[in-house]
Parts: sequence; structure tokens; C-alpha cells
Amino acid sequence: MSEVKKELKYTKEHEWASKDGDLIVIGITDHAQDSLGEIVYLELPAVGDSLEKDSAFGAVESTKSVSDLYSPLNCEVVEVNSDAESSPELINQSPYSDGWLIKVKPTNNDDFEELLSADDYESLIDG
Amino acid sequence: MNTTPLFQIHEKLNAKFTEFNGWNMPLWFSSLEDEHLHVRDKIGIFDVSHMGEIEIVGEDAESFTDFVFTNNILNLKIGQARYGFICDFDAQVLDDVIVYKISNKRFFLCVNAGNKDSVYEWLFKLDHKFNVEINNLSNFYGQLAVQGPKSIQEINKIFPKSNLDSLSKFYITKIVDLEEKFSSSLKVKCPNDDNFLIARTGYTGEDGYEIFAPNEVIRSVYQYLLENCNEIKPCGLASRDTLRIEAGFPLHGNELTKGTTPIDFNLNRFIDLNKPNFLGKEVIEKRLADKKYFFIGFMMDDNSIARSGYDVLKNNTKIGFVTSGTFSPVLKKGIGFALLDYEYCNIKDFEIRIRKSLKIAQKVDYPFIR
Repeated sequence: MSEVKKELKYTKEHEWASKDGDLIVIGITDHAQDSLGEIVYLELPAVGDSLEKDSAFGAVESTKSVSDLYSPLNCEVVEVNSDAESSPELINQSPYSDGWLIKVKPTNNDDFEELLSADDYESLIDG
Repeated sequence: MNTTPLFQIHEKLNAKFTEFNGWNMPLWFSSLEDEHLHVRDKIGIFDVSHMGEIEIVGEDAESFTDFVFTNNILNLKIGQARYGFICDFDAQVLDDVIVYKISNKRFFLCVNAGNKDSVYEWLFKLDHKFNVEINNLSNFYGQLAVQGPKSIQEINKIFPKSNLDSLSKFYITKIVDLEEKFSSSLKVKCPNDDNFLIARTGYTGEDGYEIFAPNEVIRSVYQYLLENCNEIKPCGLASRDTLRIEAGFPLHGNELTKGTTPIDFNLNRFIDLNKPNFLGKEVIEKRLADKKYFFIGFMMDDNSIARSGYDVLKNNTKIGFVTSGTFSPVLKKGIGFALLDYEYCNIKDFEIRIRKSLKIAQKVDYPFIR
């Protein structure tokens, strides 16, 4: 069974989002990393890029397949996880902490609250 | 969705499943990389029961098979196997198959899961002038591929009565041990009584065997091999694909697509143009004189991965596309095949569009390993 953390928010594209002061940290869920298999390549945006809610901002690739990453909110990128870029296996090992992807500054404060709750996400992946 | 008789065993082994040509098949059990490297080093077993088996039987079986197949059948020895293509009138490949000569009047074809019905219908349509019978045995046989450098010693030990020590590469024989064990209890027997066959063939680039056994007992055979072969691991379709790409083998549907001929994929050595006649010969000869495509292997410069369908460019002009691409578990690099316009046949490097960026790739020889 894939782990779903109660304190996080989620998207139907299998990203998670978490508040860190004024900023939001974004990653992919345990379910997503498990479906992909061993992750071998990660493509992230540049610091300073503006992301539109639901638009593709990068990709995560296993040997088998590629999965686009979609921004959960309208935001500006303030930090990317360069450790995960150089060692993408971090995403498999620790999708909710060391394997985070980007840290962003939201440009619309309502976006975060509109994301899926842990319960909603859990029923999505169980269904 | 179809399932093979091994579905419940795969579930118990915690397989992750995928849909492939209408079949719910194991994608991997442990992980793609683990299974891939295990086959390269030791021994892995694949359930390939979704594949089809067709036989051509009768007085004219040899001449008919030679007519519908691009490679030479007439000089095959009994038990010998040969890879080649079944083409339509336009030399488009209906399927790439291995033909096994069981006897002078019986040829056994291993065909792809997605093509077994179309190949059967095609052969059935063509057979009127020939004294042959075409039997689709796909529902009777299940199939297991046991692949890897350790597979010869392990399988030979398990089937001591079948004399596998003398089975050369690309030959097929009966599995006497399984025939003795199961044939009296089989509810349905193969019309030609070869219920259990083993061929020294495969799709991984490693030495190994492909085993044909009745669906009704293939569970017992699979369990027996898993329990009795040292270091054997169940493997899924994900590693089967990466193994075949590293080994330089085409996949019908990725390569060998509609509108192309086998020579477009540099597969001339599986076409015998010395044969007086075979289906597709005229078109292939014309295409040889006026080449349209150039097929290459490539490796990415950086750690990116190009995949099937991605555009290949030179100086901002599209010159072709990727037919298969993956991350090589052995080389730890993005590798693949591309089909280019023939005028670029001397090209050494080019770009591949991966999402929003252009990544540099080099033409390299394949097989990518060894």
C-alpha cells in the first residue's frame, strides 16, 4: 500500500504540496514513484520561472516511462532540489522529504486550499 | 482483458501489471533494473503465454512456408529455427516470426501476441494452391522464456532425459521429461502430439530457452522451474523490452510499422533474395534500388532519455523519429533506434526533441552491449 500523509495536500496528477512559511514545497506522491519504478531522470524548471496552475513544469522518468509534472498552483519557483536532480533515486527512497522537487511562492493564496485533502487523494488512488 | 494461466501466481508474487495487446501481463516483480541485470548475469523466467503459435502442416508445408516467409526455409535442417518476416503484397511486415522446422511436413511459427489472428487469417487466405493445413495453436500452448547465462546449465539439469546438451542455438526439440510426466493426464492434446517443446532461442541477447507447454499444465511447469532452478527470478515485460533494445532487436509495431519494409530497418540478412519467389520480394527489390529510410542506433550525450515517437532533427529540420528508446540499465545511458530519411545516411550526430528542449545524440552501432 502506498503511503498518503495526512498533513499534506494533493493533486489528481499525483503531486503533493506542503506549506513552509509563505512558501509551498512540491513533490510527487509515494503512489506516483511506486507506479513509475526506479527513477533515473528528473527535469525541473529554473529558479525564477513562473508556473501556471495545472501546466507542465518538468518531468520525472523511470527506465520504463515518463511522467509530466504539473504545477498544483500559480506560483514562482524559488528553489529546486538539485540533490534530486543529480540523484533521482531520492524520489523513490523518500518521496515526501529528501525527494521533494521544487519550492515555490504562490501568486494566488486560494490555490493551496483548493487542493485535494489526504482523504480525497486516498480514495482517488484506491478507486 | 485476457490473462495467462499464470496470472494468479504472478499476483501472489506481487507483480505490477500492465495492459499489452489486450493482455494483462506482469510489468515487473521486483524492479525493471533488478530483473534486467539478473538476466544479463544469471537467469530469469518470463511468462510469454500471450504469444501465439501457428503451425503449417501437410505435403506442401515446406514450399508454402518458404513462399510466405522472407528467409530461406528449404535449407533448414529438422529442428532448426530461422528468424524472418511474413509480409503482405506491399512488403509491409505483418509479423516478424521464428519458424521452427519440426519435420519435412510440419513448420511451427512463434508469432507476436497482437498479430496471431491477422497472421493466421493471412496464411489461411493464401493456402488454396497448396496442400497444407494451417492450425492456430495459440489457445493450446502457453510459453515461458528462460533467459540468461545460467539458464543452460540449470535447464539441462532439470530436463535430464531431453538431451539438451546437444541442442545447438536456434534449434528446437521435445521435452521428454515433461511429456512423460504430464501427457497421460492432459485433457486436450496437441493435434501433432508435440505437447512440450523447447527451443534455444530468445529475445534478450542472452543464451536461453523458450518453452512451449499446454496452457492446462503450464502453472505446474512454471512453479517447478521457479522452485528448482538455482538463482532464477520471475521477470516482467518491462525488462523484456529494455533487454531487447540493448540487444538490438526490433519490436513489431515500434519498428516494422505500416508503410515500411524490413530493409528500411537494416534487416536484409533475414531476407533471402536468392529465393526465386516469396511474398513481398518485388517490392523489397524495388525499395533496395530506391531507399527511403536509414535505420540507426543512437546514444544520448547527456543523461536524458529519448522515447518512441520523439522527433529527430538536424539544423532545425526534422529528419526522422525515434522508434524505440529507453534508459539502458547496463550502460546507464539513454539509447534507442531511429528511422531517418535516407539522405541523412552519413550522419554522425543529431538532436532529439525531448519535451521543450533539443538534446544531442550520437549515432552508435548496435547491439548496444557486447
